[in-house]
Amino acid sequence: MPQYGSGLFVSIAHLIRGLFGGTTVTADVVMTVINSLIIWALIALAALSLILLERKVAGWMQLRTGPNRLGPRGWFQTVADAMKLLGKEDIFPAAADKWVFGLAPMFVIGLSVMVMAVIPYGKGMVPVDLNVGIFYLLAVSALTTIPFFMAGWGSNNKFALLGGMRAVAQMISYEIPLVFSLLGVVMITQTFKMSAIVNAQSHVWFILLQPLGFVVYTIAATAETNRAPFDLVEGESELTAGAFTEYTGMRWALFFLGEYANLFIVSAVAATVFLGGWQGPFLPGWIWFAIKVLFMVFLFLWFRWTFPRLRVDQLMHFGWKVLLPLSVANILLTGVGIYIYQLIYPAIGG
Amino acid sequence: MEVDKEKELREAEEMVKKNIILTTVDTALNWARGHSFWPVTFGLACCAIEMMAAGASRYDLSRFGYEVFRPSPRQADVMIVAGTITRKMAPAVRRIYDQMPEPKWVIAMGSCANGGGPFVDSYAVVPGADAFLPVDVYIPGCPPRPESLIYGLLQLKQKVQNPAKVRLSRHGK
Amino acid sequence: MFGKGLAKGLGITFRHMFDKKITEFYPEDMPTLPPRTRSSLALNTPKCISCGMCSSACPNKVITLTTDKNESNKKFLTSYHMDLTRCLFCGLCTEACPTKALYTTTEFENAVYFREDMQWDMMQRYRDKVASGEIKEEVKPETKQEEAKDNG
Repeated sequence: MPQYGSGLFVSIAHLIRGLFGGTTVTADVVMTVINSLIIWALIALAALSLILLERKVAGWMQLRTGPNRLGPRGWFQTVADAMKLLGKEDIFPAAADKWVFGLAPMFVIGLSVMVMAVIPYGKGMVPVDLNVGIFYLLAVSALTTIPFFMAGWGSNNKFALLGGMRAVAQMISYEIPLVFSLLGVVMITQTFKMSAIVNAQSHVWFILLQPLGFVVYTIAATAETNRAPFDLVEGESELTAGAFTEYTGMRWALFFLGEYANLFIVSAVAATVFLGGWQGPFLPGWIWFAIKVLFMVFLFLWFRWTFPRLRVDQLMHFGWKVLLPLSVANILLTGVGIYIYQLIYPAIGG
Repeated sequence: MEVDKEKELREAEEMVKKNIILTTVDTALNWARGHSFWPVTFGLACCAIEMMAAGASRYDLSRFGYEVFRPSPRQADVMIVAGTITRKMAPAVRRIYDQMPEPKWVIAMGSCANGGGPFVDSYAVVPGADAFLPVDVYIPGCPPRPESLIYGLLQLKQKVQNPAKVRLSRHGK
Repeated sequence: MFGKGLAKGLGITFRHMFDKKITEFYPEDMPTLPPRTRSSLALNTPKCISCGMCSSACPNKVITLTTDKNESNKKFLTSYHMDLTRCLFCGLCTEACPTKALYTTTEFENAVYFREDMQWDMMQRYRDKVASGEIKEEVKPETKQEEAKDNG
């Protein structure tokens, strides 16, 4: 394992592995447990801090201060919110489908954990470095549609059902441009492996080679995470709270947690695929990664507090008639570009 | 016999009161509750405009963490009854209150919700939200200023965080 | 060009992030409300001549006052109650008041826990205010009025 510069967590991992010496199976098991614990902690931390960041940024953009009572500058506001939600009554609607209703929030959070396992947080800091990393990530994150629909169906409430239907329509429509926009990068690197994609960006970030892909990805990811201007799933002016209408207390908090974990995930994927992941001078890799993720998160927050919500038909129109052709055009352009590149430098590519 | 039983019950009550773990959890929960009232997005009349103003930039409820107006009553903690409750609307208001999960609180904002206001003699208006809801804080005003609403919410926070204090204040301070 | 409006919007929100915030920090800094704000009412008891104009001017029967006469056949207040649950804070009572004994104030921290607390005993509130030093008790308003009567 290369140790230069950034290997704080990598050397900690080495140390833990070293403790278990020869028996590699034990070491692997222990490392897996530690990794999964870290991912859970990361989700909780990301959600708590992102919710606060969202409220603060919303405040700043609207010329107000945002939460500022609890702790220094209000940084403990979400802790109080989470504690309060823990203490709320847990209502199961009488007409609800108990199993589907109860399982939906757990699926959301479970899928987030599964996705977060393949994200490279730094050099040598990939919990599971699959060789089909991006493919796995897209496949699992596409499943996020199902818990939303489960929530909508299980609640047995008309608003929830409509919200769930909208979630399915919207997330499946925007999944296609999302996948296609990442395909350009895969064509250049010729690998699905996340760490290999980051390594391929040591000279130039793919945002420069794939600007169109980045734009399409950002828009599709906004829709995929159900954030404004594409927050039709939770369109409160017409659908109460969409698929979450009947959820109370901690069950609803799990959805909220999943929502912000998804925000973190799409930002992390953008940082990995387009912004060079952990690559960067001077600072340790994981700090670079954090900076890039925060930048992407800020971008999404910025969109949310600037644009008003779209209409359903506008959303569908935009997804199928604008984003999809754009992403296909991006693939075509990338193919042509690679062909020309190979003509000039025959040594490269395979 | 009866007296002994009552004495036993009283002692048990005392023991429950002195249960350190439970009271500590309760205090912590009350602290958290007091710092995050999420109101239902719900307004009945002109007081609601003032409520919106309280959420906007100048008065900014979000400083206290109260700006999360939840669209669904299932995720809300406090209901701000802002406006005139007509007899036709009263069942709907009651229903929204019933849909909220415990613990929940009600703030009557403005004269109409306090006691009917100028419409108190009307056959079409409910004389005050406390006719069918357990109101925790009354905010007089017609409509109350956003600052008054913030003060009312802070009073509610006091009530949530020190329940005994408010109970005592009723019986001669 | 397509997307020009979107970029403009993003620019505006980004600029606002660093602008000066306009929030009023209410519980820490008491806001100075405009002097004509009608958010609360107060009675200056010694100024009151117990004429009852306020209660007849009120559209909602908020004010109930009882009076009595002393030996020189002069009315004085025995009780003065306001029912805030009906009050519109319209200020008609203060306009009707000939001596400006009843006046609107900018006090807005009126929230209470119990409905009974909205029945204001205005004389008691005046005494409380004097006791807390918030306002000074009028010096011999009786003599002033008598002087005025003599002159008139």
